[in-house]
Amino acid sequence: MSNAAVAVKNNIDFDGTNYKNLIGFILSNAIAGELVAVKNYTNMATISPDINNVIVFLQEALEEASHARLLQNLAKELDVPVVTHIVEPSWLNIVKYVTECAGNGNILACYMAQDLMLETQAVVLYRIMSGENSIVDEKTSSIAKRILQDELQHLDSGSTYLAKAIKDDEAGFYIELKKTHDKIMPELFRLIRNDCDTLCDEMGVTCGTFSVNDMGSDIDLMKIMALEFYVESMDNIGVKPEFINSLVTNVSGFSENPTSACC
Amino acid sequence: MSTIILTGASGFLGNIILSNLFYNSNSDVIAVIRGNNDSSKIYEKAIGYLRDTHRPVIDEYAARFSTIDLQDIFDKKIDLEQLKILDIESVIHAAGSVDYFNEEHLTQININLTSTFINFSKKINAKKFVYISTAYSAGYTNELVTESELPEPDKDPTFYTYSKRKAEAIVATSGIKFLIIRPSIVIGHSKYGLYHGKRYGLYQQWMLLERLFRDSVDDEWHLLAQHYPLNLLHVDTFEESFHWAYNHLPKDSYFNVTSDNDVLPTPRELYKLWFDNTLRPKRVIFYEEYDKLPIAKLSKKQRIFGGLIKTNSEIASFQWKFENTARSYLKKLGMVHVNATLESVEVCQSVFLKQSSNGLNKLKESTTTYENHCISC
Repeated sequence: MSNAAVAVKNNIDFDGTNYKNLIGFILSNAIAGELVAVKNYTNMATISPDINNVIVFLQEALEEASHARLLQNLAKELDVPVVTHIVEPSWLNIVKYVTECAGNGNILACYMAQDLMLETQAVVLYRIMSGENSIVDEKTSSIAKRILQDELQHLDSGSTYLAKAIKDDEAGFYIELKKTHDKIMPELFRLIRNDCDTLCDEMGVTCGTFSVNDMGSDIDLMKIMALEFYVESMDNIGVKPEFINSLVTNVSGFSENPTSACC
Repeated sequence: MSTIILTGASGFLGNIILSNLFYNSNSDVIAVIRGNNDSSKIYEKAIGYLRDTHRPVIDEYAARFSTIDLQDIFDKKIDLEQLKILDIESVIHAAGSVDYFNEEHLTQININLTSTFINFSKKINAKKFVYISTAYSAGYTNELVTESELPEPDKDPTFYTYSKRKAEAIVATSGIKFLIIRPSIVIGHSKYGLYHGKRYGLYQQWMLLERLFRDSVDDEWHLLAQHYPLNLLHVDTFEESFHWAYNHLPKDSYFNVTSDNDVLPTPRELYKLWFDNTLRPKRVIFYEEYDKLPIAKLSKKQRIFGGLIKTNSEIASFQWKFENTARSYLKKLGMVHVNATLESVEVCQSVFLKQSSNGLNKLKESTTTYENHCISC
């Protein structure tokens, strides 16, 4: 059955305002994520002692930039409202943390933030945009599938580095992982939401008038998918299950979106 | 006609209070909302709750409802003199954060915002300040949780309970007449089972069981779950308690809104209720301590589930004892108090499962055996 037919069956209107605003909202966040990745990989290139890695980081930065352009073009083609710069505070906080780590020459923390945490979330985002546990139009699905392959490769190369890093200095690795997790993951979970801080204003749409239900998905499931894949990625790297659970136990932002918690 | 100012009206309990004020009072209600919250949605949600609980809705409610922007209070753009003229009967502060692990946010919302509204209440000469706290603001204590100012416990389950206790202290020492209401874990309606809140507490547990195990079911489960009662409270009992406390408790009262321990279900019974009606795994083993769980042997999904509900499970593992003097007093005046029982929780679970895309479909013919983990083994 085609995406369009599935949509009709599930009362999803690809031409409806809610769906268009939602896709615009998701694309805006995806573009922001790509731009954050460009900054992170560029930062990592500047501090890497290995020239081969410098080239890899710069290639990855270039790929992320081209993803941003693909998404921007998709928004244009779908005629949905979009913002093509970083708006939400959580993205800015992530950039700030990785830039600080890079400034301190802490390449391990940069790898953890970008290649483990951001890439796992990117993979889940593009899976959902591809139509996994969601109903999306053919164009969005096709572009998302294309980008997904690159993101899986980035995750893979980061995982190889991190798996080696555990073996080299296990105690140091766990200290750094806890610190980076506490900084990055709450911000990423806060980004999985139906509303925003200021993005809707910039998009020119009314916050709260659309939700991921408009693409046949739900926020709880998205957060669970994100957490599941994050745990799976840590398992693959070789992080101890007990340590993973200590991270999962205290993950702030998973159950609540602070900006909507009051009033 | 008097006016009531309400915070947290977009949240679960705040919105129930809004419904109750429409239905049971003649006061105008001004809800303090964040600029990006849609006031019509807040109103519709409150009206929806009245309809869902088969109560008449009249046009007059809309005329009695208005909003002000929280930011305008911060920016001092509110005309305080205008509010003074309105004769503010009370400020009901139901806004709060339950993000257990975000200390900055808990401080900002639960402590600092309470201070802001206390100061605001003084400026507008509000006659009373009502604070919606939590039954767990006492922290871990083996003593009776009294309906009075709380001593510092040895330990808090999370920064959340600390922040609520601090907020209570701010209210109690403010000099304004106050009422502090401390509900336990609020669940759906005792009769209709409906629940409009976020996925916290028992609903978070159900949601995780449903969504995490959407495409696979483990045969064997290892769970942290005690055999002590878990203090659940039906939303209708909360609403009734709020109404009677607001109108009948003397000034400067505390009210522990809880269910009776002797009829409450235990966490183990709640898991049995879930599994027997849904997944029916082959074997479930209950543990008394999280550290005894064989984490490394668990499936990824069970690890995530156990991790995410660890804090709530640990809170549920503690045996709190609550003073019920205020409840006894209000019951004598006519308040109806419906306890949460295993049967009434089943009503809520059934409604949850009916809305589920997963649970009931996975019902198997197998029978589950339940075991307790042997501590000395």
